[in-house]
Amino acid sequence: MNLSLSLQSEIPAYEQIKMQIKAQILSGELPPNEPLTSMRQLARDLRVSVITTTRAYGDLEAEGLIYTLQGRGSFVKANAETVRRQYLKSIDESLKTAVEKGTAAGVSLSELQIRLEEIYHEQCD
Amino acid sequence: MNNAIEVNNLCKLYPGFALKNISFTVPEGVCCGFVGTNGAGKSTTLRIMAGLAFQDSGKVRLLGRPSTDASVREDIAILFDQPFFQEDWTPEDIEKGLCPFYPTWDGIRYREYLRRFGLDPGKKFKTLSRGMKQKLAMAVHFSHETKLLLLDEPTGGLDPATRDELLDLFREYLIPENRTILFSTHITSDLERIADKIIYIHNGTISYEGDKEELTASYCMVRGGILPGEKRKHAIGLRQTDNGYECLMALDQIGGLPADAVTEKVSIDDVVVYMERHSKLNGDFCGPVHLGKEVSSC
Repeated sequence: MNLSLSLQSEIPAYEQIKMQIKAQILSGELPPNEPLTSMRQLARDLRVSVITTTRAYGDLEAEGLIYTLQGRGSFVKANAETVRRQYLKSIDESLKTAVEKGTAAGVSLSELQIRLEEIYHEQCD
Repeated sequence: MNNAIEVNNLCKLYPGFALKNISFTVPEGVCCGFVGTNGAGKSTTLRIMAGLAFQDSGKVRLLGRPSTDASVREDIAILFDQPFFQEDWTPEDIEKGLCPFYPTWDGIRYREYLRRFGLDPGKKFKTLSRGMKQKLAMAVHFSHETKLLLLDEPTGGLDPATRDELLDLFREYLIPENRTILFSTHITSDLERIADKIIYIHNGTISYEGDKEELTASYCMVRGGILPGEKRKHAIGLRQTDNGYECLMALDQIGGLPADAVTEKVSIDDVVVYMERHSKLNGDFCGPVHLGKEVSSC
C-alpha cells in the first residue's frame, strides 16, 4: 500500500487515505482478501493520529470495499461486482452532466443519443 | 470501550494554586493530549496519577484499578521532562536495579534498544545529553510490558530533530491495540499528528474534553481591516492595530463578516494561545465549553 499524504491540502487526511486506498482497490492493485496494514501501524507510518486511520477504514468498510475481522485486521472485500457498481455510479454522474449541458443548450435526447453512439464507436472501434 | 484513565472530582490545594474538582476519562487505545499554560494544573494532575503527589480529595483509576494499587505501577510507563534515575548509574546498573520490579522485563530487547539509540551500556546517566536520557527512559519502557504511558513535557528543551525522534517512539509505543498515552505538553504542535483526543485545562479546571478534530474544526482565525462592533463580542483574543485586526472565532459566528475578512484553519496552538490571551485581556475565560461535555467546577 503506497500512500502519499499532503498536509497542506484542504482535503482532510482521513479523506486522502480513504480515496487513495479506494483507488488502489478499484484498480485491482490491492486484490480481494489482501490484508491491509493495521490501523495503528498505518497511523505510525503516516505519522497521523489513530483516529484518522480509524475513520478512513471505517468509511471504506461502510462503502463495502473492505472488511474487518476482530483481532485479525482489515482486508480488501471488493470483487468484480462492487468495482462495476462503482464505475456505473461514476458513469451516471458523467451522463447527468451531459444531459444538464444538453438541456441548457437545447440539444434533444435523440441528438444526445446519436452523439453518444458516435463517441462510443470512435473510442472502441 | 474500557477507560484506561478515569479521574473523578480530583481536588488539590497548593498555596496560590488549586486543582478544582477535575474529572475526565481517556479510553483505552487512545492518544490524549493534555494542554494548558504553565501552572494550569497539568503536572499536578500527572504527578497525582504517577503517585508522586497526593490529592486532597477525588479518585483516580488507571487501567481499571485505583492508582494507588501496587499492581498498577508495573503496567504504567512514566516519562517526565527529566527521567529519574540515579545520576551515577549506567544503563547496565539501571537494568540490574529495575528488572526485579518488572516480571515481564526483557533484557534482550533492552540491549537492542540501547544499540538502536546508540547508548553505551557502561556510560553514567549524568553524562548523557537530555535527549539521550529521554531515549534511555523509553528503552526501559519498551523493555517490559506496559499499557499506559504518562508523558509530562517529555520534549521540553530538546532540539527539533531529537523531539521528532522521540515522537516517533511514542507512535511506535501505540502500535499494539491496548496501549494508551496521556501526553501533557505546551508544545502543542507535538500533538497535531499524534493525538486523538484533547483535554484542555485552564486555571485548575477542565475547559474542554473531546475530539481533537472537533476542537480545531470548530474555530477559525479571522483577519481583516475593521471588525464591526456587533462582531466584537464573538472575537476571541482580539488583536487590533491601526492596520487591521486578528482574532479567533467560533466557526458558527463568522457569518456577516465584512467582505475583506479572511478566514483560516486553526491549530491546537492557535486555540490555546487566543483563548488564554482573551482571558488575560478581558478577565473572563471563554473556553470551548460549548463543545464536548460541560464541566462544573467546585
